[in-house]
Amino acid sequence: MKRRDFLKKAILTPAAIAALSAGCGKTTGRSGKRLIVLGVDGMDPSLVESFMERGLMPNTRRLKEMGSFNRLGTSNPPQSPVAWSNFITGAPPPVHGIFDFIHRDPATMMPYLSISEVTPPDSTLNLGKLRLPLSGGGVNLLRRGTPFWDTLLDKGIPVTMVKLPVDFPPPAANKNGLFLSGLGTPDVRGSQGSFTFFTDDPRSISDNTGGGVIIPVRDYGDGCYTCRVDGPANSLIEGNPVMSVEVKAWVDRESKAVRIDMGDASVVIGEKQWSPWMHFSFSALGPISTVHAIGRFYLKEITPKFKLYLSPINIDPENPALPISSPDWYSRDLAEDAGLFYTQGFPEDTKALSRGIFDDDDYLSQANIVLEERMSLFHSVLSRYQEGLLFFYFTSLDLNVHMFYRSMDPASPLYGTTDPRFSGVIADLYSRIDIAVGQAMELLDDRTEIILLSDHGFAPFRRSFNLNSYLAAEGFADISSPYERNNDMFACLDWSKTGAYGLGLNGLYINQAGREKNGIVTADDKRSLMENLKTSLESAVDPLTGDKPVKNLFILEDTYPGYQMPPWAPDMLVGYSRGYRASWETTLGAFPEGVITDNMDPWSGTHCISPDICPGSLITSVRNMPENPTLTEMGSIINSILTDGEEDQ
Amino acid sequence: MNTLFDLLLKPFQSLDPLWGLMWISALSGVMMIQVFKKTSDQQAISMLRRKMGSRALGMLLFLESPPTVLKLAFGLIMDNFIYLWHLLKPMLIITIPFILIAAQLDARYSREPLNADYLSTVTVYWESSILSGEPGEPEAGTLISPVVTIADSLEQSFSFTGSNGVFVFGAMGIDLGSSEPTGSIMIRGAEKGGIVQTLLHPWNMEAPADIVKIESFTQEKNYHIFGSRWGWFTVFLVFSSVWAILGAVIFKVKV
Amino acid sequence: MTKLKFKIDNEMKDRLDKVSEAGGYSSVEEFVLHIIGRELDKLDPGADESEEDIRKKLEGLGYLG
Repeated sequence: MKRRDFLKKAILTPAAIAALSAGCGKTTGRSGKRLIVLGVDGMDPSLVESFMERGLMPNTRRLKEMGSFNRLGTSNPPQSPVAWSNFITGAPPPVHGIFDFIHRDPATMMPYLSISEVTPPDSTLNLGKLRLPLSGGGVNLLRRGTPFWDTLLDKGIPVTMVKLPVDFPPPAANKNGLFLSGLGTPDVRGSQGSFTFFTDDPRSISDNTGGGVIIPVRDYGDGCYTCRVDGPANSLIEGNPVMSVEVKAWVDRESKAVRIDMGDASVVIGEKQWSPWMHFSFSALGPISTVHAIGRFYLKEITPKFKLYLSPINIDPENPALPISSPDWYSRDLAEDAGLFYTQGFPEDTKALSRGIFDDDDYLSQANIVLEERMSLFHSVLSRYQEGLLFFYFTSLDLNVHMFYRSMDPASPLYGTTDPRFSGVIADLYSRIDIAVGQAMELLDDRTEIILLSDHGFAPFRRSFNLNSYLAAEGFADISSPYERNNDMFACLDWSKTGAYGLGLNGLYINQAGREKNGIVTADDKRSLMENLKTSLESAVDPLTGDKPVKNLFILEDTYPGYQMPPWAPDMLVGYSRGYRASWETTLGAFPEGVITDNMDPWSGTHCISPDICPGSLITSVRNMPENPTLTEMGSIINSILTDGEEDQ
Repeated sequence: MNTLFDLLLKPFQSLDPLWGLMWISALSGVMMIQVFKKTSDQQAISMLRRKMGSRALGMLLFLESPPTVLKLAFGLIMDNFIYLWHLLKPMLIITIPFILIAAQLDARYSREPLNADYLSTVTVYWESSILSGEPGEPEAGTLISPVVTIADSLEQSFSFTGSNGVFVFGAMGIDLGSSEPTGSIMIRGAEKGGIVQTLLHPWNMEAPADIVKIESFTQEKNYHIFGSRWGWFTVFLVFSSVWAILGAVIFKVKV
Repeated sequence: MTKLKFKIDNEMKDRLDKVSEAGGYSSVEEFVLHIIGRELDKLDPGADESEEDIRKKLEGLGYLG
């Protein structure tokens, strides 16, 4: 809010008078320096160069001409949770503890999301079926290390971090800090984004529903579909039953529209239209405990079959069920100013497209909503920004380029089947991010600098490498139940004859005695096994292309010498070559037939490869940036700018 | 009632709606305490309160004598019932203006004015058959959804955005969500008329022939007070109570 | 270890023999124990997180299969 608008509002709003009196008289005594950092996930330097050349990113070009343009050294592996943790802590994975999207507990061999965890209460009061939590329990951020902005907060410099990745739950409230969690924030079901699809089309209903649930519904002749929307599990009741609400969808097949009734609220949408955000209330204990959430409906089709999509049920920023901002009122404040928004960390519903629930047009309409919301949030944050550090994160370039790389890659197995209408999607997205850069640049003056950076670049994902199948084929792992090869979590393995296994997007682990549940490799044999694996994988050849799928196999103790590795760390990181990535099956421990196959998923771009192939971008108004900068250095550079170099002294 | 409230709120037309809401709440609080004074037996309440005070004191003084304490406690409980009986009549009388005031405030302060960012939904309930297939276009809004017709229950619904939604149903025009000036009644629908509609649902217009009622779902309004969001009813309840207590002190009303 | 005895019809026994052999199990007993354990994990996850719980948490993460 501009100061003039604020004063005008203060005169007219009694509540604002209190706010004004609280804000008046505060003088910081600081220089009032300002630094806007735009964190654009996945912004590729080669594409930026190409789009600047074509005149699609005029503001970015102007920024480059004011200061500099560099390739930004990314993390190893170049995955967003790892890379942003490098940025936040200024340290490598052994310090912040994030090595992949997925880690595994060696004691149980169960995989888990590396960013955050929800822990149940230590003790509960049991009254019949009631389970009232007494102590412990909550959400924990698994990233370790000290964030760079702590230095700024200690010096009294304001810090605003909006949609910050790997920061859920946000840090404790600080009078100079405003935080809104980004990547890693779950939906209310606790997943990373689980859609619900209501349909009377039996062909849509399959077992392969990763990313969401498909609910069969039926019209009994009155034009009404009764749809049950499942919310979170109710931890206050024995057995944690799922809480749900009932939604009635009244269809008019002539006008091709549906009226959705939920509680007192109603909305009408036509085919291919989105509802606004609708409020869901899941009652855990009558009116005493209610989980508030929001979701948007999309009427995909009404005839011949009824197909109604419901977005993942997001945490309501106006009434959050889990901590998503610090202070807790910040998310509400933003939502009231900029409108409701996706709070989940991965808002674009890539799974709905991968599973065929969305077609390309459906997906882009949803992705467009996400970007518009983000722009609105950015505008709101920018208009009230006064001084200190402002970090704002955009997710659109990453997830949409993952899905549409095939539209600009003639070598993609899906290039021929992708409608040429979508060939300009990626260029359009970059130019829209350029608009945000332009808005930030309007604030440039002698006390304001801008940094535009990304965590990694991009490469095509044409061929899938079944790492586990390769290990089995080469004798590093033993399959005892071949018919379970396609099941996750190493269901087919005989651990007593397995020396190594792959999990996550780049992780390769030794089945180490004393660490793994069924470990067999002794500490003495471990090094030679890793070296054998390195030789073997780096010399593997794709029989179709003649290329080597693995560019580098990094042995972690060599890559990060001198660090004590936590037990969840992988022993090696697979640095895939351009065009290759770990197969979908590898990520959760399956062993499909064949080692290298075409990637037929719309998810056709990747950055989970060798880090030297996909550096990030760094474009800034700041002059005299160091040569060959890396993500880990950025926090210290930011602090130095805002503290006039005190950071370096 | 509508005219009375229009007059009362005239000085607040150009200010934030919260001022008008607080003004009516304060006025209601003071007025209700006056009604209470006039309709209650002030002498009896005063005597009863003294009696209850003495019983409480007696309980403290005779703590060593359980039978006396029990007897006094029983008396205190009975006095409470008598006290509630004394409150009943004034409370019943106060309920009538309370409901009327609440209806007026609901009509004026419970909803946001229509705006381009919010999707509002209207449902028309026809009497015996659906006469109009299409509502007219909104005057200054955009009809963004097709019209859903539910033949079995004679309902039609549609959604729109816009700052001013004038719709034509058959021969009737309905101006939804008009908010000018601040504190004026925002029309939310229509229903069959009569005293109930006029007094208790001032936000509804008189429904035309062939239509049972028209309902709209528009954006609810919240007020920012002390760092949290309050609905209009909470604001009314809190501020009228505060002013009622102040009024009781100032006008020496025994409550 | 507790010993459990139960009867199954001959047809099912034949199928068990066939599938456990095709699946590379060393014995029918190993196969039966394996599938019972798997179903128990699904239906009665106990205090630890079940595979189903884990799958739900990772659901929607586009990077995974």
